[in-house]
Amino acid sequence: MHEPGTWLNAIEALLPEWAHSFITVNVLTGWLVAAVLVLLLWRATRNLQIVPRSGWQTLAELFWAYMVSFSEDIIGPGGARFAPFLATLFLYILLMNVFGLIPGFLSPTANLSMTGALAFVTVAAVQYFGFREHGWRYLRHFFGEVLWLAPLMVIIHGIGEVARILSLAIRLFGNIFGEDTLIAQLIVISVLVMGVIYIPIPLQLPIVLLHILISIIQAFIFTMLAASYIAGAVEEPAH
Amino acid sequence: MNVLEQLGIEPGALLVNIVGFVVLFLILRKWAFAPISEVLASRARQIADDVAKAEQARQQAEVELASVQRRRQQLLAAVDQEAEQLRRKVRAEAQALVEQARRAARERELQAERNITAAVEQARQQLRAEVSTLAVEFCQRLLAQSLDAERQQALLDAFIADVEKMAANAGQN
Repeated sequence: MHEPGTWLNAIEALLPEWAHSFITVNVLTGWLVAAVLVLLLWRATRNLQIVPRSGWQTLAELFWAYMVSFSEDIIGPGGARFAPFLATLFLYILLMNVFGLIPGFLSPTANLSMTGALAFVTVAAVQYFGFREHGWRYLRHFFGEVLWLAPLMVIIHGIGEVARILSLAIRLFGNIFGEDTLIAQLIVISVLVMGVIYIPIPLQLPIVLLHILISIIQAFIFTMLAASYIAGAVEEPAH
Repeated sequence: MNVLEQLGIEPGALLVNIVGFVVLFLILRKWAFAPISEVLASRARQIADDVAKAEQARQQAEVELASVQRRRQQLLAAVDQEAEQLRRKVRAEAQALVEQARRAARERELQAERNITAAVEQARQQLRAEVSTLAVEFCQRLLAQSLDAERQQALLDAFIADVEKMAANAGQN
């Protein structure tokens, strides 16, 4: 597939041929975003005080307190245990969404390899949390109430889990890819317009602002869906 | 595989992305979220400790306040008792002083009466001595001259006048 040009294409070109199927520009951008995220959180948590002395710490504490509250609101009592997973998801997706606004970079979430990976990890984590919470009894969740319908229910539930992965991955990919494509097209139109009227008009600017809003909303939706899936997996069965 | 490629899904990259996210999650959980969580828990503990200490201090202050109030009541009672004792003492002393003054006045009064009696007695004795002297003197005069009736009357009048004069002098002293 054709790779769009970014600052990281040069690094990709340095990699051996066999690595190209594993380490793409999208993967490298994802690593860069992860590194930025680690750096930001290291900056915020490197010198934590009981009484906060820096705005970074205050910001990190506010975010963390919000994530804990969010987890407990959606998952219920004990939901705070899943706050690290949800917080990582939210921050990583948000930063990847807005990373495409930096000239010379692409949003890693505008690629199904990244959104598919995030969706797969989320659904796999949900199953892991379910097993950890209920043990083997969690399998009854897939078999259903009626024993002779169990084979059918397993297939239906399996399709449901795959649908979750597809739903999470395609929703995020579609929104971010659509926004990025729209911004790219508007930039091209702006250049064409400038060629006619000799005045630069940033037609893409409103969509850039919209992209920031959409980035936050999409990160939040993904995180909220993950939290609701976890809530469904860890809740006590009604029967 | 062709479909996946057309969708832009690269299985190798997808796998690397999965591993990358898991690694990122583990790093953030251990070195970012756990310390923040620990700091928040420490702060909550410290606030709870401070609140407990403040509550303890408040209770201790209440106990001390009650103790001070009890002590104040005791002191007020002691002061009242002391004042009452002092009042009684002053009253007793005043009464004793009045009694003493009365005794002294009575003593002076008796002394004055004794003095007056002595003076009267002394005046009587003096008068008696003078009357005796005058009587002797009168007898001497009577014996020294012959007396007629008119002369006898004049002598008697002079004698009585002398006696009255002496009595008047004794009353003035």
